[in-house]
Amino acid sequence: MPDGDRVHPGLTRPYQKAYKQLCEGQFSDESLATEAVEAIKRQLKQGGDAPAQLIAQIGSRLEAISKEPLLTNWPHVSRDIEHIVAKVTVPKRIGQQIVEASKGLLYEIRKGEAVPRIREQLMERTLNRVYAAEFEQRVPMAQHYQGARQEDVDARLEGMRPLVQKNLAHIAQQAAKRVTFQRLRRSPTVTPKVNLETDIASLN
Amino acid sequence: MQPADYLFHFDDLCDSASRVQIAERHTGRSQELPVTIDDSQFPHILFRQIPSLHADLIDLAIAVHVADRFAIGRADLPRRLRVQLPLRNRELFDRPTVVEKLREILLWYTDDQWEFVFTSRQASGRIAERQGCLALGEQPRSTEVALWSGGLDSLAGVIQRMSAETAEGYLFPSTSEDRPYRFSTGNHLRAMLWQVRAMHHLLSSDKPWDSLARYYPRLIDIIDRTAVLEGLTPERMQDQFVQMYQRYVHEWEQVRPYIERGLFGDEELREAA
Repeated sequence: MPDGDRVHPGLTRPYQKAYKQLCEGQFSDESLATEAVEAIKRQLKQGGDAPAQLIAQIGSRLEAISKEPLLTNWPHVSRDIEHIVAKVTVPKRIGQQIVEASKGLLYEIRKGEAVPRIREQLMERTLNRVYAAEFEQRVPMAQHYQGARQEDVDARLEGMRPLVQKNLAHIAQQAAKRVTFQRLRRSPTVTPKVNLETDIASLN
Repeated sequence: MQPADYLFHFDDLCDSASRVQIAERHTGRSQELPVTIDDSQFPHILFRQIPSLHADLIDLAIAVHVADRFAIGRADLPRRLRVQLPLRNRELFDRPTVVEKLREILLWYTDDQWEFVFTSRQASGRIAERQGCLALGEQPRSTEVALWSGGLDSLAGVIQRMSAETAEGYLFPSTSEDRPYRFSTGNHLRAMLWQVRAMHHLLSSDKPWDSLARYYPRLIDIIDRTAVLEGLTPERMQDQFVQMYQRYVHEWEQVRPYIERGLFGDEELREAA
């Protein structure tokens, strides 16, 4: 992508297109969510499989802890999570989100909450945090592309969020099972019915 | 442990230009750079020489800064940095607890692996360590220096310090200055507004501490690591966190219109209206 296509200086390259579409205003929530998830997939793919392996490793540890919570030294485990991540060469931005997501899950186990499918949960939460940190939180800007108003941008982010989460849950399931970020398929989309009332600008 | 990506070998850091040798493992290249420390102003502020331990800390800070600036990261991957630095109080810094704490703090700040080799300094101290200053002139204005990340916590801290008039002047080196898009103060404000909104949302739930802890699980670490030292129960600290953030959000809503006028440009302000 040439530099001229970089319309938001605070976003990394994979997310520029999703941001442009967010500002342009004619795209549906589904389209916006799809583009954002594609950007996350690109970022994950670039980082190799070490993060997926790391998530599997910490997930197994958390699974073991959830079975023996009474024997757990919680502060010690929390510190251990940081050490495990520090020992592996993973992209920093993804590593940070793995730590946060792991500690969040650890908190729930500590509180005695039942957390099913821990490895999958950890993967899904990590991906959601990556989305928030890399895109949602970085989008706010004083002057948006094509003069889009912050309020409109916020509303579109709100609208697309559940769809992004649904898509991320789908790819997290695959990534956790296969322990890889390669060849992830997003959830199947339902082709919208088109009739005379349909606003064709909102279609993909 | 894997070998370091970068080696930084510092000479004794003196008043005149000193040298640092930088070796990069991946390319096999090495280069030599001059490093100069000017801490001659400290005696004029303190009206005494700087203690040798402070001088060591200045050297360490400079070494970390140089290493951080000159080691180029690859594709957002963590860097492994090895710093060799001569110090005056080597035996203090060589203690495993000190080294471990230093590595941990730097890992927390940079997500990089740091390794230190301290050697004994051979050169005599810098002028600031050897020569004091008589308090004959006008007392300098007291200035407080604090890091300002540009985030909500930071801003709340700044406002609190300024309201308490802890100093006559305040200097806030921002950690986000090198991000081009942050040059617009309006962008800063937008980022803060996002934080305030997220915080407001978390605090509005039935169980505000629970929501905070799930979203910011490092708060739990802070409680685990400090409650005993503070002589507080974890529950009491949780309440204090919630109250503190509630107060921040409330104060922010009070000062927002005034801050907006200062931080947004005219065009941005018209748009925000």
